Parts: sequence; structure tokens; C-alpha cells
Amino acid sequence: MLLSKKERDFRRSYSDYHAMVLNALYHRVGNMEDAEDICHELFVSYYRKFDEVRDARSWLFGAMKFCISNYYRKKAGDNQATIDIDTMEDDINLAFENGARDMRIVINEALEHGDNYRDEKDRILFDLVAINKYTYKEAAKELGLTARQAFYRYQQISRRIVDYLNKRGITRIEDLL
Amino acid sequence: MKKPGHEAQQLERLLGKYRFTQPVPPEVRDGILSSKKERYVRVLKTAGAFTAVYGVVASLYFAAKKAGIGLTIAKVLAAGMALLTISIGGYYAASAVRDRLLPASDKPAPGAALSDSGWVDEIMLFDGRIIRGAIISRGDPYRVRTASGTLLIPRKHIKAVRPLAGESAPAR
Repeated sequence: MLLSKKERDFRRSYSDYHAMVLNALYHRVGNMEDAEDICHELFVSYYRKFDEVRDARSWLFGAMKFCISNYYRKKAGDNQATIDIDTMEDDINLAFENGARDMRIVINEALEHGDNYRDEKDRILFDLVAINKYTYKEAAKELGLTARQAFYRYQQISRRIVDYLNKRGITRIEDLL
Repeated sequence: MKKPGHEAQQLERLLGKYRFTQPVPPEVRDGILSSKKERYVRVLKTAGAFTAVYGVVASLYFAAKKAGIGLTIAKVLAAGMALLTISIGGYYAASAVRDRLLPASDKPAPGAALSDSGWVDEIMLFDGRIIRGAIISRGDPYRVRTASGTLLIPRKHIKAVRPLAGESAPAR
């Protein structure tokens, strides 16, 4: 074969996660130039550690925090205090009242629950459409699906997440809206 | 009864309310989707893993993905096999149809490929030799294209010429 297994797997993994990672970075840093630079750095590290990575999603999102922190430290100079990304993210959660925070935890569990997704593509599709507000067509293009396939899959995932919430005692989503 | 997409809509509203959504503006989404390959190549270059082959493969892969075709080695092999099978089958089918439709008299005789017009002649010489080929010119000498090349035969050595292919060929 023309390419080694590592190159093939890395290309597939890059293709799957690139948009999701870049969206998350854009959301955190607020501008595309910085997001692209951090994303580049992140994927270069990912390539170098590719053989050791077992769970691509966890690795990428874990490493993202360090990359953001490092990027800003480099940008501001070494004298600058380290930016704690975890603290930044926690601030969003703390903005909720106690009851709402509990609800947020339950919803987060539903979103993270592996059985709600048939495969990793499902999970990425859900993130792109529900979280990042991609259209079905855009998400389909990103994942190598047709828009119809993306729509169908998305409906299935939503149904499974709603079922999960039902099992956790949230029988009427309307009541929470 | 709930209409299709009802659950998805409710879930989206729920995610919005509890601030799980991280909307990305359309122009940013366009940028992310359109320059994916370039960014991939840049990553490989920085990692020191880029080669021309990777560049070509990446171009094909991302173009196929954009078009909604998941390109895996298995799919490429399957498509190649299918194409080969169809080509071979088509060739044999066309041959069978041609054999069935063409009358026996129109079928080229062995060696007919020697002649553009489909004619093959048998030239008998006075010394007893027989030459098979397509007569290109009937001057002196005769020019005859044979399987082994073009021969020049002086007219005085020719005893008779007999056509092997074509019923309407005049007797010579």
C-alpha cells in the first residue's frame, strides 16, 4: 500500500475530529487565527503521539486545554501567570443555580453516554449539528455522508438521548424549557 | 402523535437553555470546511511526515469525502474489481452479439487483418509457390502485403491470383 497504517488512521482521525476541535477552539478563544494556530499545534502533537493514543476524542479534548494554556503563555511571554482553562470553564457552570446545575450534570451525562451513539461518527455528527449548529448538509459534507443520511442519523441519536433522559426521570422535556 | 424531528427540536432547545450549544458563525463554518485539506497538509509538513504521495492521496480522499463518498481501501478495491468484471463481461457480450449478427460470409478469413479492405488473395507462382496476402498494387512488380511483410513480385512470375475473402471478387 502507498501509505502506512499510521498515516491512513491519522488522516481518517484528522478528518473526523478536525472540525469539531476547531469549533471548540474557536468558541473558547474567540477568534479564528488563534484557533487555527492552536489547532495546528494540537494536531502536530497528536500525530507525534498517535501510536500511544487509545481514545482520540479524550486525548484531543484533554490536550486542547494544555495547548490553549501554552499558546497564551507563549503569546503573553513567560512571565505571565498560567491561564487555568478548567477554571474558565467552571465559571460557566457556576453561573447556574443549584437545581439547574444538577440538571446540567444529568444532560451532560446523557450527551456523554456511549450507548446513545452507534459509533464515533454519530457522536461527531451530533456535536456538529446540536452543539455547533451546523446544517445537515455541512455536517454531512464533513463526515462523508449524504444530507439525508445525516438527518436520519441525527434523529435517531436525539431519540436515544431523549429516551436516556426519560429513564433518568425527565419524562417531559417541555417542563424544563 | 409526535411529528418527525420533534424530539430533536426539543433537545436542541434544552441544550440551548442549559448553555451546551457553542454556535459557530456560517462564515467560520465555511472556512473550516473549505480549507481542511490545506490544514492537514500543513500539519504533516510541520510533523515532517509529508511526501508528494501523501499530498496526492490527501487530495483524493478529501475530494471524495466532500462529494459524500467514503473512500476506503476496501471500497477502492471493490470498485476496481467491479469495473474489471464489467469490462470483461462487456467485451465477451459484444463479441457474442457480433458473432450472432454477422453472416458467416462477412466474417474475416484467417489472415484478413493483412488487408484494410478485408481482401486476401492467394497468388500462385510459376515455380509452384503460393503466397497469401493483400495485393496493394497491381503494377509491375505486384506489391503484396503478407504476414511476414510486403513482397514485390514481378508480374511475369505470377501464374494466377485467386481471392480468398469476398464472394464478389472477380476471378483473376
